[in-house]
Amino acid sequence: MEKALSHLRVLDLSEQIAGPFCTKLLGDLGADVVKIEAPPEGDRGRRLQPFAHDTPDPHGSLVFLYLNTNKRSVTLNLRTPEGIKVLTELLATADALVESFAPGTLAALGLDDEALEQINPGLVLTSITPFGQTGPYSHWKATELVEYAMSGVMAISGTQGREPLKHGLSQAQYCGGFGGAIATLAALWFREETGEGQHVDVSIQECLASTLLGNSTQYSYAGVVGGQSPSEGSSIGQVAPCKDGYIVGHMLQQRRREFIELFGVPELASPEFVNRRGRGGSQGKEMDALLLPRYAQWNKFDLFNAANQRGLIFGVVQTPKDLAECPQLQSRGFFVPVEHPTLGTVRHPGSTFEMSETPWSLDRPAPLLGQHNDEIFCEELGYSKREVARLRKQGVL
Amino acid sequence: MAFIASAFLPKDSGRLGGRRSERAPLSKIRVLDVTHVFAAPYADGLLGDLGAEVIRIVAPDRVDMMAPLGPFPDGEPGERFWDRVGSLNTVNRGKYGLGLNLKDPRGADIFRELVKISDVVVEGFTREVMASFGLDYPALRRIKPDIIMLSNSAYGHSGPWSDWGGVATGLEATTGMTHLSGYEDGPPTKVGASYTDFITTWSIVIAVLSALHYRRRTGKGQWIDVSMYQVGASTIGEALLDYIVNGRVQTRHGNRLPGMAPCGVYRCKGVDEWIALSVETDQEWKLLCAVMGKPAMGEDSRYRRTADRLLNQPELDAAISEWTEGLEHYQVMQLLQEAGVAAGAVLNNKELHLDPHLRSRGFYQKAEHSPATGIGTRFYIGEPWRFSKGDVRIRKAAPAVGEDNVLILTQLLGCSEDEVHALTNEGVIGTGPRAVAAPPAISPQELVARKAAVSFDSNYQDILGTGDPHPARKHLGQPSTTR
Repeated sequence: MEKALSHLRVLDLSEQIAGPFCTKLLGDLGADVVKIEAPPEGDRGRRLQPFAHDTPDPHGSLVFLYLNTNKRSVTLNLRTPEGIKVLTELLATADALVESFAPGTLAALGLDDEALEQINPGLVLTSITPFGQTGPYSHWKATELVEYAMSGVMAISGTQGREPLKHGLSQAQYCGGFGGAIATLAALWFREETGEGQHVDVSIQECLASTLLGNSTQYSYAGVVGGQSPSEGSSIGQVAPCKDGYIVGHMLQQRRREFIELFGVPELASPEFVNRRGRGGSQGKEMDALLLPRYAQWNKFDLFNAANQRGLIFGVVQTPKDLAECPQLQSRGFFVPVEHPTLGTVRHPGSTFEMSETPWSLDRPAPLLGQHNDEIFCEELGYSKREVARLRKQGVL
Repeated sequence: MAFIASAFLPKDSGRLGGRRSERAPLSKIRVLDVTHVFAAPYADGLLGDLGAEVIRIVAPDRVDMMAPLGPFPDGEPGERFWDRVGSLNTVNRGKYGLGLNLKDPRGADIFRELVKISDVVVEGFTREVMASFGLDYPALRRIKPDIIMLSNSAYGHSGPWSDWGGVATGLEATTGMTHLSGYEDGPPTKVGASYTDFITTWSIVIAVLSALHYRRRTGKGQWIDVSMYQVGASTIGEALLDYIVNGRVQTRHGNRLPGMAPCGVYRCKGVDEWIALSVETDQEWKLLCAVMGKPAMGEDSRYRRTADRLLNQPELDAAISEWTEGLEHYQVMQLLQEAGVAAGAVLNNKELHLDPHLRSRGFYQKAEHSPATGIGTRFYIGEPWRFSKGDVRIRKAAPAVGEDNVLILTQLLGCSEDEVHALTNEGVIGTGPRAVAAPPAISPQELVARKAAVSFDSNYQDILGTGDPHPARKHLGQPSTTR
């Protein structure tokens, strides 16, 4: 079935999380994504825990499984001239190349911007790195934690007086992946208009820094340096405990009556609570004293349902188990079964948006390493089986 | 007075603000932005950076939910405070402003005329609202068969929760992100600022670009139904699979990264100054010990391999803190990076604006607001992507409500100025609510006193280089005059 991006071929040299998430976004929308992995072990993402059944197996990384749906895999050793030659043949057939090497790596392989333009003038090269291709930090080392620290997001997170915090799992990498997908699709649109390819440079630090709308303008509008929040005032707009878990309360002005009725807190009708701005200070403490004991009487899903049915837009702290069993996600068909060659049927998280003409679908599970060597090298590029065997013996693939 | 539809204006001649740079990727695209708060508006702002002409349409008598929170210029809301909000002006950059009452049938008609000459409609109302205006996808498709319409909502337009709204922190919790975030010994914790909004922003941009590509190939538009909840679930996919395949419910790990030790955030010399560092290999561990002047520790067999270090993190953390507490955060960062250790100072909003790397990349961009707002020129977050050939940037400041009513109706729809005045008098179009009290001004000093801020610089405009060249003419914003 034709999907939104079925006309695109994307070659993927990236590894681990940011680049693979970018190409997953494109592949899930129909692009023909070909992972090009270095033999013998391929994408380092194949070694990321957690593993299926906690067995460290190259086919069992659940991170890899999740991020590499709708992709094919070939192996190529780019440290050999033959490997570069085969890559060049693939590049001539591609619309985009996504990579996340340290800046300068492609150039060192003889594949700088000028060389790529010679091979395929319409090619879009998308590079996703911690700090981008240029600037004094562009050659610095970074991990998820370092990116969070330097993005500004950490400075406003965590409790005052304690070390600041990052989000759980690998959000900086996912943010970089989103950035890469946007930049690739916009550059391909530019190519449709002009015939020209180009190089797009995505910085993970800047992706995260892009999320600081209020914090950034606190300084540019008023010279205010923002930091971590005080811990009082958790009953509204923050995580608050209830009987069997946690919820997030919200009280909009236009729903104050419903809020007051639901929790039996007529005190909140008084003017001092009306124009509450910011958190902390005596108002936060007073609200907490009123509301936290009342929240504590409710189970989290009862409270979440009761509040939302009255137009109070509460949130509920859900665990992965809660999401796996969620009636809303069930109704939206969010989890889809996928047949995997070694793991059997696995329910995968699915689409984040629905398109009426080009529905999302999971057509392939994450590929085994080099699973499509024959399909691509022989059937598409025209190498004979004997040539492929020779290249394999020489360590080219 | 009946609204009279204009004669058809060919798209190319109808560009607001003159001809677009052809090197801007989306220069031939027009987007109608009927959204609120942050997620969807920001997506349309980024489409504007990519070159699209974006018309922001808001009800003239309503104030955005986020507006009372500011931040305002120098902490002063001013009379038209809704036009002076830093966060909203960040997401609405590059747009043209139309204050239009869609509940009035004449307003809905004007919207329909705009749809005829637009490519994309992005809306963020709860489920039934556009239908109640007669402007849902089936209706818009009859007007323009290849229209791309995107609806953004908390939970999507179907399912048991589909009539519910959602906002920032609450959504972050519902998506499962909050359970997985926080100190190892602490409760689930929100991190950053309305994270779910931003991953939704980017998902919307991807969805619109994909639909544009598909339309180019096939001539077909479509309706896109975005669920913020599902977007949020998509960035914790590995934890969902860990439960589905292994039955394990993951939990919080503070700042630890799997397979790395030491790994954490350590106090530095200044007030609230911190350094983050992580060590992935045994070689990096030795480099770290050498920089800290503790080479013996680098040779100690108790810490030689990652597996050993993972078991001894408290001792390692103590040794590192002992070293970092004597140094400034930028200093530690430089020393460690020069030695080949992954390290980053925890940077605050001021430091980000002044950071040499971000400055050299021009990440923050200036935009000048219309004089009536009294905002002047400010720095705004730009884009996290650089195009070697495309013209991608902030093209103008965010509009005040209804700032471009006359421009849009006369230039794009061929209305006369008399018609525009009549529509204004009858409340079909407008430039803002009449009787909404501004929130109280909170000075920067008070924010610091309340511990809602760390510090402030009264000379920040000089520091940033956005100072008013005529400081004696500083405005607080003027009441709107008839336009």
